Amino acid sequence: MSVILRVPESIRQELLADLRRPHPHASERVAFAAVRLGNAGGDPALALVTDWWPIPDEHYVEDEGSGARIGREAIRNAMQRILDQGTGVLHVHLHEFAGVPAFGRMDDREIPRLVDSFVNTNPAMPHGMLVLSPGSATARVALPSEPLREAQQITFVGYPTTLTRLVRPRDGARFSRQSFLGLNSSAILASATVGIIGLGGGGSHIVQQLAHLGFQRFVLYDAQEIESTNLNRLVGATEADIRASRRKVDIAERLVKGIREHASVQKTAKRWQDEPRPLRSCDLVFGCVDGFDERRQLETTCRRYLIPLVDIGMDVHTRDGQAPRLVGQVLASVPGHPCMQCLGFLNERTLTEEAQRYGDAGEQPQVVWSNGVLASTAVGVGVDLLTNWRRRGFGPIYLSYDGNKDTLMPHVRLDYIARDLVCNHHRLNQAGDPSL
Amino acid sequence: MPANPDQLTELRAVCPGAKVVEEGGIEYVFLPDLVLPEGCQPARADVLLRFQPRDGYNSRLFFSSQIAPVRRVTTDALNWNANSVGMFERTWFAFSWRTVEGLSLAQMLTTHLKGLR
Repeated sequence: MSVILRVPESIRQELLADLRRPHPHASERVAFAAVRLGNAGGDPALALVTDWWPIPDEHYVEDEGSGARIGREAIRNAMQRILDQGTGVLHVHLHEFAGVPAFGRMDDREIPRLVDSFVNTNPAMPHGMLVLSPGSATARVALPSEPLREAQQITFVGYPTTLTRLVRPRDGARFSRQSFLGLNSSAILASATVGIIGLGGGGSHIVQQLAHLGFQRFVLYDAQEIESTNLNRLVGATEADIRASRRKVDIAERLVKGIREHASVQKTAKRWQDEPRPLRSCDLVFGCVDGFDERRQLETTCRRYLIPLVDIGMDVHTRDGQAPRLVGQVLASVPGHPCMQCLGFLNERTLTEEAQRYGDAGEQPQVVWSNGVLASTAVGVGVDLLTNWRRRGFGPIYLSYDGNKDTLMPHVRLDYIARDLVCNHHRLNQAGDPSL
Repeated sequence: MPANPDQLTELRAVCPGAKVVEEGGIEYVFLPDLVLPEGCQPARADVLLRFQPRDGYNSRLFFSSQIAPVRRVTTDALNWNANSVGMFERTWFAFSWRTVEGLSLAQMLTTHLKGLR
C-alpha cells in the first residue's frame, strides 16, 4: 500500500517560519503536525496534515550530540493532543538547503522510536516523520497496523499546489512550445493525477485540453451514455457513438488515448458519490457538474481530502421579450481558502430554489462555444495552480462569464472578500475520512 | 445554532449512539442504527438529522436507504426528493416532510418519523 502526504501550503509556510527561528541553545528546531487518515483501506492511503504546533524553547534539552533534542514535556504534550483530538502526529524538522531532503543517521535512529510511542497512543491514525527543505520534503508514515514507509508523493496544497515527486514525461521535447510554463512544467503535468467529474459539454473540452498539455494520469467520472442532444457540444463524440449509446467515460478515454496513448485512465461510469475512492487520489479536480447541491457535495469531498477544485458552469436566463442571457462561472476552491459559500456562489437562496424543484437542476441549456470558453479558462487556472507560471500569488479565483458581452471578468463579489479570509465552512481540522 | 446539550441527552434516550457531527459548516445529529416505526422495511437505519433550516426546510431527516413505510411494501407513498445525496462520504435519502419551527431535537425526529406511519 502506498501513502500520499498532503500538507496545506499555509501550514507549510507557518512551519518553515517557526523552524527557522533561532533557539537559545539548540542549533535547529522541531515542530509537530497533526495528521488525519484519508481513504482508509484504499491504495493510495492519504495522510492529511490538518494543524501544527511549535515546541516551546524550554522543552528542548541541551545535547551537544544532536541539533535539536526535545524533552519529555514536549512529547507528553504531543501525546495529550493525540488523545484529545483523535489525530496522528508527524515529527517535523527542517534541512535548510535546496532539493529533496533526506533523513540523517540520527533521525533514522531516534525519530522512529518516538513514532512508536505515538502509534501506541492512537493506533487508528497515521504517524510519522517529515523533513522539510525550502521547496521540497521527505516523509515516512506509519499507517494503522503498518510499519513506517516512505511517502510516494508529498503535495503542498494551496496557491500554488506543489508536487514534490515528479516523473519525467515521455518525449518531453514535444512540449517545447509550452516551455514558458516553467522548467519542470512537463514533469509536473505528467505527474499530477487529475480528475474530471462530468464529461459533457464542459468536461469533454477539459479532457481534450489536458491530454494535449501532457497530463498522463486521468480519473474520469460520468454515469451517462451519450444521447443525440449531446452532439451539439460534446467534444470527441460522433454519430456512431450515438448509434452505439456509448458511455461518456469511454468517449473521453478514447479522446485522451488518441492524444496520449500511454496515459493512465481510470474511468468510472457511475456517479462519483457512489464510488468516491478514485477521486481521493487526485491532485486536482475539475468539477463540471449540474446543480448547486451537487457542487456543494463535490466541494465538501475535495476539501475533506485536501484537493483543489476548479468548477465551471453555465446557464441561460430567459425573460419575456428580452434576449436570452448567457452566463457562467469559473471558480477555484482551494482547501483552507475561501469556498463557494465564502464567495457567495453557493447560498441559501440558490440551494433552496433548487431543492424546491426537487433537486432537479433543470433543462440546463448548453452551447459549445461558451462551454469552450469556460473550460479553456478552467484549464488555464488548473495549469497555473500546478505550475505557478503566472506567479500571481494567493487570491481567490471567481470569474464571471457574460456570453452576451463576450466577457470573462473577476466576479464583483471578490471586491468584498478579504484576500486572507480563512474558510470556516470547511475547516482544515475536518479533513480526513469521516468518523460517523 | 449549535445543538442544545439537554436536547441531545433527550435524544440519546431513543438512540444511545446519537452524536453531533459537522460537515461543510452544517451541524447534524447522527443516529446510528435507529429503530424505525414498527412495520417499516428495513426496520432499522442510520439517520442524519439536519436540525438547522436549510434548502427551504426547517429540518430534514436523511436515511441511509429508502424506507418502505408501515403497511406498504414499496417506498412509493413518499416523495423521496433527496436521492443519493453525498454527505460524510456516504449516500443518503430524504422524503419531503415539513416541520414547524421551534421543535426540540426529539420532537423533530418524532415528527419526521410520523411520515413513515
